Amino acid sequence: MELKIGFVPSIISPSYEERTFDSLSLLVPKLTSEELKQVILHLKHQQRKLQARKTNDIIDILDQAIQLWLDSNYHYRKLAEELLPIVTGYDSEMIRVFLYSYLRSFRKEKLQRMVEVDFPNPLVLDDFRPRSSGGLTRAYGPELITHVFSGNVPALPLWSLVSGLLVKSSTLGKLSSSEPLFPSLFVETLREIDRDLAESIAIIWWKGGEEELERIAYSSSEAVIAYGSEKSINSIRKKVPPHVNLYAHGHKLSAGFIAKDCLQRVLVTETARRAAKDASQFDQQACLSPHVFFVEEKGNVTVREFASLLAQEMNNYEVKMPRARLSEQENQAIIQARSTFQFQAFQTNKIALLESEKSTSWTVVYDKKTTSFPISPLNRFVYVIPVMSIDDVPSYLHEVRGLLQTFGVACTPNNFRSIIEVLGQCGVSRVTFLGRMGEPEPGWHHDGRPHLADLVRWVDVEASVEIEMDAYDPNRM
Amino acid sequence: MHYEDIKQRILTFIENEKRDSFNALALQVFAYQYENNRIYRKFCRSRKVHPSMVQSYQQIPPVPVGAFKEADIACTPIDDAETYFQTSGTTSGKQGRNFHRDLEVWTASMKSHFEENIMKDNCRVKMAILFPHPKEMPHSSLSQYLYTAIRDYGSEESVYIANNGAYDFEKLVSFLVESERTSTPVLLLGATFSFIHFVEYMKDKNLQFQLPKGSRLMDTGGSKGRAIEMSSSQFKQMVAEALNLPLEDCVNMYGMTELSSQFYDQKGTGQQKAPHWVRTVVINPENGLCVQDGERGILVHYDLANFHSVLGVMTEDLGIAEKDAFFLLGRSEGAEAKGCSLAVEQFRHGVSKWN
Repeated sequence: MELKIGFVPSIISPSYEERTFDSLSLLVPKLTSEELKQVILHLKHQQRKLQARKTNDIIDILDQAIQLWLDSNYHYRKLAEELLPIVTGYDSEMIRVFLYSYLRSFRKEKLQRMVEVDFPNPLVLDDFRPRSSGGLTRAYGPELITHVFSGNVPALPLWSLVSGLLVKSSTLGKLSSSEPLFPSLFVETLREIDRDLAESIAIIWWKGGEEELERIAYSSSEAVIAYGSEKSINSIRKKVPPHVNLYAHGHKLSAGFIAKDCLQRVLVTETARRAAKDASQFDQQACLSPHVFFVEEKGNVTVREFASLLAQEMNNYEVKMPRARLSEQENQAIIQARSTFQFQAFQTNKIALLESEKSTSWTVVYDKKTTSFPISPLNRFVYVIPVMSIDDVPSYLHEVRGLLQTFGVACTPNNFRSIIEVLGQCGVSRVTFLGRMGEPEPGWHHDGRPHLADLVRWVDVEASVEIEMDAYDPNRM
Repeated sequence: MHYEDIKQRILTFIENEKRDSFNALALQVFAYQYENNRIYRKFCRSRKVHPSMVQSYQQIPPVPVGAFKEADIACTPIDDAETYFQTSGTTSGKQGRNFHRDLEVWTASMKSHFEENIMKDNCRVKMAILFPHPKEMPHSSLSQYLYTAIRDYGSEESVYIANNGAYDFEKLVSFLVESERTSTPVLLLGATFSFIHFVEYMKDKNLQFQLPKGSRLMDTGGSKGRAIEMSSSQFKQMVAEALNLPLEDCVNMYGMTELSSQFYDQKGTGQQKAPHWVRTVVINPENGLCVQDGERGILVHYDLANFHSVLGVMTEDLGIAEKDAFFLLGRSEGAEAKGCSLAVEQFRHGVSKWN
């Protein structure tokens, strides 16, 4: 099957490059520098029209698009469900379930909340509004944002795409090589609903590191939002001129904490099931996937027993939603990591290895020996570290402080406050209940920063204008 | 089976292939290792494999190389071992060790295959070794290998080029000049990277050599992860040109601390030939099963000479197997850089620090 994706304005007809995923071949638009310049000019022109629209109208259009996508019979949704498993290798059921819950977080109420979290008076995005301290103020989004999308989790680009539209910026999206499908299809939906809005968006592709195109794109934008590895972020950082704001989301580390009260006999299986879901969803490829669970000792079951329960639940998840097939390198990383712990386990009972039989599908390592944050080779490989209390956790987090993102916690009302206070202090930027790590709520501070407020520039009109101009009013008495 | 008995049986097989069958001997060695190697026995149990269940050597659980860093995988108490060889492993800081109760089988293995692939018809030849002497690196298997070569096959004029933590390229130049003058064929042996440095040195000094007919060069370790990276065929091209050697006289040796035998790429095609006491199988890392003939996967070597530790070693190398050889397709990325070249780099780093 062959499919043309990306999204380019009708003013150019670029050449397409083929990207193959098993039986599927996706054609992505590959622009020349000249074409890119034309597109940028066009996008900037369109942004003036976008700027004149009300944020609420944009929310309505996005909501309509989400409603369509929530309908399992909608043609693009069907296409995405069919093709995303081929493109990403992820289990189709896992994608289906995820899309449903993920898309719901972009409904009208959620989008409104996203705006209001950052702008107590959202009208400032449409017009100069009075400030309580006097004068007027208005927030302007960037004229053009270049988005460097990531492909580790399908549909993830929706976050930055929506953010840009909500602050009325034009969008130049650079597709990820590993998952170029979803953003393309979603923008097609926007075109079905509102042609004019879609004209302010272009979704194209170039190979990371392509000097000329990157230079043009970055230097013509007012902002660049980039997702990717430390290496690609660094390479982008070098090319973004100083006057352009770069919002970089590099790779992050996440983890979980399980309080001993959540290991009570009746609840412990549920706790393990939730942990297994977080560690298995998207084969642990997301920034918000846990590498390790810190588990409190002296509960009804031992931490070692909990590791076994977790292993069982990892296995259940695997039966329901099998992991993607891995490259030799990825498999190799798991095999070598397993052997490291296996041979340590032969010599000490402080370490135990629990693994899927005759496959690399899932691995649980119980490690009472380590004193540092263990980095998983991913693809459903998770560590369990016993701790006496939450107060033991900071010592493991210290050396990865700048890289921490989500903590999934299982706690009770009695201890939740002490837990979040410790984690907040350690540099964690998002705390969620266990089992919810993969689904951030709308309005979250991604990597600890406001989503929309960070993007805009403010224009203040001071009270003096209002007051002093009266002296020059030709109609004054 | 008793230690001496099994050792004799392996030595006999190395000497003459027809005196035994690889599979039968492999099963014997496996049973011996299962009985005497405590850690390996635990490993086999975790894989639910017992010698009584195994009919062919492919069923013997191979140990991933990384395991050598975590445990002493030996069939005899380590205090009784004559020596051990240690991996360089500078990236992780952890070093793997392969213990040898004695070096009798190791030496027989090295010599037999070396004679066949490097010495051909010669009995002794003038050698230059571009690697430290075992005095400086007592636990390097490559150092021991090269020492065995110079001791048992080197003529009296043979020399070590690396001395007291430094490469003496001037010494190598006069060695080569002398051999040109007297038309004595030479054999140059060393780490791939030391040759790369020497060719750079030659370029700097504007040197050119025309080595006498019959001269050869053997490199090992590769250049991956080093300042200058090149493929094995690029490397051969480069040294062949610099020293005016025929390409077929530049041989690459592939060896690992965790094994007790070596492989040689004679033809420069990337085909690494195994001795008859080693079998290579290729497995699919996803499920640990052997792949179809000709398919790529992770290389597993079954080396009878490695009877002091474990017979089967799972590498981090990707390749394709062929009858008595394999093609190396490279290392699994992300895996730690291995080997001899790294030791030399370390050595060189040391040098620049001292100076």
